[in-house]
Amino acid sequence: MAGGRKMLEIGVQTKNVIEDKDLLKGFEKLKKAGFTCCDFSLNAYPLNGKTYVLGEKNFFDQTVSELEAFFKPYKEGAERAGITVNQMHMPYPVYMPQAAYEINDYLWNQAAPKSMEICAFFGCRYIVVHGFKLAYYLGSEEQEWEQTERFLVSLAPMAKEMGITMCIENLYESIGGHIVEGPGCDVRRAVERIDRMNDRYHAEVLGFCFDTGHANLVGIDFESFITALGHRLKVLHIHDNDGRSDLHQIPFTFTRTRENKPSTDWEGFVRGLRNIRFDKVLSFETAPVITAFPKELKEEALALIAKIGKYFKDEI
Amino acid sequence: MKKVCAMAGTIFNPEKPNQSIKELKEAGIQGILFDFGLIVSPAGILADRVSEESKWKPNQTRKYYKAVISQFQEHALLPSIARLPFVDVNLNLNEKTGYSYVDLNRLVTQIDADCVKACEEMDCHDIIVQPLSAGLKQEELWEANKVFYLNLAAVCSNEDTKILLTNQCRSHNGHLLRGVCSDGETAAEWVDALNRACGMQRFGFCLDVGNCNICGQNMQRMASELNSRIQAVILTENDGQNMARQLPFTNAYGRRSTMDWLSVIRGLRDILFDGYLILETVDTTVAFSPLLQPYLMPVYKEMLDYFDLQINIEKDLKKFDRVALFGAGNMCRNYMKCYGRKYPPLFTCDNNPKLWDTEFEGLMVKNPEELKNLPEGSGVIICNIFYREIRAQLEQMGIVNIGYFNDEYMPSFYTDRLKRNTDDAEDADYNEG
Repeated sequence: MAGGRKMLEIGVQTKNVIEDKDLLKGFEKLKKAGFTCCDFSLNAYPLNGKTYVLGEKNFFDQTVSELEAFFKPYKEGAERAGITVNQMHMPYPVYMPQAAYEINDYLWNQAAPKSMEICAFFGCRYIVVHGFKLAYYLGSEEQEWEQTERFLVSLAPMAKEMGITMCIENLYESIGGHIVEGPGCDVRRAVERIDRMNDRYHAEVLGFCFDTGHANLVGIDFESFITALGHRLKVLHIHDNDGRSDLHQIPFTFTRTRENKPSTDWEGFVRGLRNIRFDKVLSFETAPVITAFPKELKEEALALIAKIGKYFKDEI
Repeated sequence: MKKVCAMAGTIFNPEKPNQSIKELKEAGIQGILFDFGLIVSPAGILADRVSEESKWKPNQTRKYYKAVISQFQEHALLPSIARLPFVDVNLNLNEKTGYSYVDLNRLVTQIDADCVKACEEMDCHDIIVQPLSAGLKQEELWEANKVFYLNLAAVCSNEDTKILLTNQCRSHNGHLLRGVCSDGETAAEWVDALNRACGMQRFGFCLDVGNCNICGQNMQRMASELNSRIQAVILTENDGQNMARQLPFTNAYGRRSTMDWLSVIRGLRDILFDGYLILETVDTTVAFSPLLQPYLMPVYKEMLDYFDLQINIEKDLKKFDRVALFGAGNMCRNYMKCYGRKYPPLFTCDNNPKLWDTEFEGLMVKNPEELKNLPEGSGVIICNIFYREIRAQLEQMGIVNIGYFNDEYMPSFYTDRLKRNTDDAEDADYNEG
């Protein structure tokens, strides 16, 4: 490798691609499309809606062994197809301020640590965690972070032991349908908080997941944000939108003027990654693209996403 | 707090402002932001410079805006804050325009220097100056702006004159992103560096919440990062996509404004803001028929007063020696959560007799008649949305020390709302806080 730098790889989220009824086929589809890695959508198990209501039997009521047995076919499917599970997404939200104590207790003490166990089971190094959305109630972003930090600290020893880096992500809130910045949108604070936590545990227990779509919705400058993150940037959620809604579409889809040039700053994205010599995985979070295209074109859509990944890789 | 309206949208004809000034004064608006850009536009000058008749020629502009200023002087509405001409972030120069960004920025510098002199001549000492950004690369921004701003500082002859930088968006193929001075910490660094270079506090900041809103920024954090450097705030609203200048609360969806006013108010409260509140509403005003526009002026006055009230909410609470509350519902609950320790009430009262002699949020709930026995110097703070009705009730009881509490923009909120079982349905709405 030139200059000793690792090769960039290309990944995509498994949601809407990997189907339970034929896991190997799904992973092979990814491989065929041009991906070598995947972002395992652990947040789809269970579906978001079900996290709001505790039933008699909840997904994370299972023991770690039972969960490992459940996911074993997924792991084997990925291995057989030659796909590395590079990252996964912890179910979210991880805290609901208006929910009953029992629900939040379940999320914190069952769903979260067991997600870490599943991550370790897959041999996966990175798990994306959503910060708490509490600034409205508590009064400031600093107070909101204190609560998120408490949650992360509860998992940090586990992360250290398992060699997992939890990655906080830039999120958003909605005010009457208008998207505004949420947790993780201040890069200086993110850097300071990541460094502080890693110093505390003498290990990379905390990193960052840069989500291009979320950043685009709140006008964040991709290049300066990524450059400021530096080595703390561990994983990516690459997708595009129209600047109004979180559409998770293919990069270069949207324009705003008659010149029809991309309204998302992909050049800045590439420059930022180049600045920090990013050498990990260009991972796309584009599940809605798969459902948007007709069945006959899904594979081509997937292949196009992988080709865009290769384009970014070559540019970086 | 100095409360003013931006000239655009309130002075309909800058060349003949008499009627507009009259309507503003009748509405109780005592000040305006003087917008030099309405009179002299750099892009307009460059486009029009070939015409001998053009009033935009550099040596004509000074005469032109001096004529306008003199009309304001006649009506004793001399502005104490001004905004200098700037270049629209969406401006796209190409070969057809026949001039370059260098030409444009040079002209902006020339015009702005001239305007600074004009400001000092009319005793207007707070001057909002947009950073230069047209045609500049990211790595060029600081040096170019340092030269620009220090040139303007060199023109100032009055030590009271303050140049206020302001936050911008930038356009990426039509999509507005965060631009120059949109990061609070960076903007603070710029202001401090310029003041150090000047050897005095010549520079400050004007927070444009409309530009913050375009990019969904956390304005509370931005206010805290800039802190006392913020000397002025432009209050305006938009849909988060286009740079409209609308009246606050008018871009609504789902029965609420789409703008994060909570973040703005919390931020300004946190920094004890006491500078200029500038209401900018040109898009709302011009959307109305000219027959209706004069009726908007009193609304603008009330809007400015409303923001003053919200930002300085504690002023009403600490103007009395002791307070009693009126209302034993959610608003009282929120008062006690956020201010109960700092401004402890003697008790609260309510028109619902079922609540009398019960305890609520650590307070005894009493018959409103008990308010007649309050110690001298005490006030009654209304904690109920039926302000007018309760005020009338209190005035009828002979109570004069009346204040208002409002829980729309609290420092913190409960995650739930109080629910009462009320048998007296006809009183329920009136009694609940």
